[in-house]
Amino acid sequence: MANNHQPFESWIFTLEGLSAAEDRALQEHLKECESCQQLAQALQGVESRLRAAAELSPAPGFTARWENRRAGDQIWRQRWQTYWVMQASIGGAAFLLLLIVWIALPLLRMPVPVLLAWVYQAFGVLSYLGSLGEAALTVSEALLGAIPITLWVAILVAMGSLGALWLVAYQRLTNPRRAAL
Amino acid sequence: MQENESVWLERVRKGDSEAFAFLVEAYQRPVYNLCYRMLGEANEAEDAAQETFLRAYRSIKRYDGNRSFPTWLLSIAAHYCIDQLRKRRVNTHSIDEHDYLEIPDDQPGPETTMWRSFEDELVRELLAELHPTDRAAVVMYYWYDFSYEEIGQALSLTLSAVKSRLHRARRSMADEWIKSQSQIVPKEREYHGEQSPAF
Repeated sequence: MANNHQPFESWIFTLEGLSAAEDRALQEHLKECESCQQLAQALQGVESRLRAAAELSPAPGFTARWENRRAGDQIWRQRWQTYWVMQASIGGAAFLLLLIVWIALPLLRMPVPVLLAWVYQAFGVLSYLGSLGEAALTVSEALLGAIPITLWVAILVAMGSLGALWLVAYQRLTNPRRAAL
Repeated sequence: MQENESVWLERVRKGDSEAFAFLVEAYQRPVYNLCYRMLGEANEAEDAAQETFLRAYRSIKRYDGNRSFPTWLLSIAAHYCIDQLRKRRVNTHSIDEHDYLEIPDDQPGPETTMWRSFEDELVRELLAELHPTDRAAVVMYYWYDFSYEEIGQALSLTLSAVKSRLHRARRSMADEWIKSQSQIVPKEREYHGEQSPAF
């Protein structure tokens, strides 16, 4: 019995609580088994040491030090953000510059054909926009005839309300107190 | 305390950063103690406690009001300390290299300091042998009387994992206790003096 330590070793360290029969069996085993007895005593010693150990406090002025650290962290984060915004701006500017050079290079080499091609493209875009405008005009004329005047008033009022709602929401969201969160 | 806590939390959520200082004042001790028990060194514990509050402050919007605030704070502290201990292992920077006899808080007399240092060292030696997560579970169980559920929530563990980790930790500490008995007795003799009848 004394040489067979299971399940007694496991019972010594369990936090689940033992049944009366298990507890009795463990106590019987502890009387006979020196190594399990040593383990049980060691656990008692450990637990009493841990429970007796005081809750330690930091050195005085912890909150003031934390506030300084928070302020430092805030400055560091702002600097870091500024750095990244600057990096992104420089990158963007460099990209735009490259794009301009890439577009302007053929113009410098052969100005007349390139300009002619641009003018041709501009005419194409303008004529496309013109046909779109004509289509929109036809649709709106048809709508004006089909929708009664009271419905138009209702639509205008609804759009005005939505606009006002948007303005109020925008003001609330850009409120400095909220923005500081 | 709980009423004040909810008032301060509400103020912090509304953008009043000063209100968080009240929470730091109120919870500095449990957070520092957990960090100290985890890391075993006063300066590192101070740094970890400061970082814990900073992280809590940054992520206060993610704090679920239904959860206990101290549990949430200690969870942040435990995770941070576990990460630090892992880094320390990677850097092969042993816990034994730290100055264990440093007393971080109030200044008691020299005898009390010596005895407390000795007691403190014993506790640290017991905890130092444990896996970082087991150590956090032990600290939460013995110092803060956390339930298994709370420990599980704080350390992102299942209930059965918490039980098995605590079981393993208790076993490991008992083994360490037995191993250190032969070293502790001469140390106690040294602290109390050879003439003491108790030794």
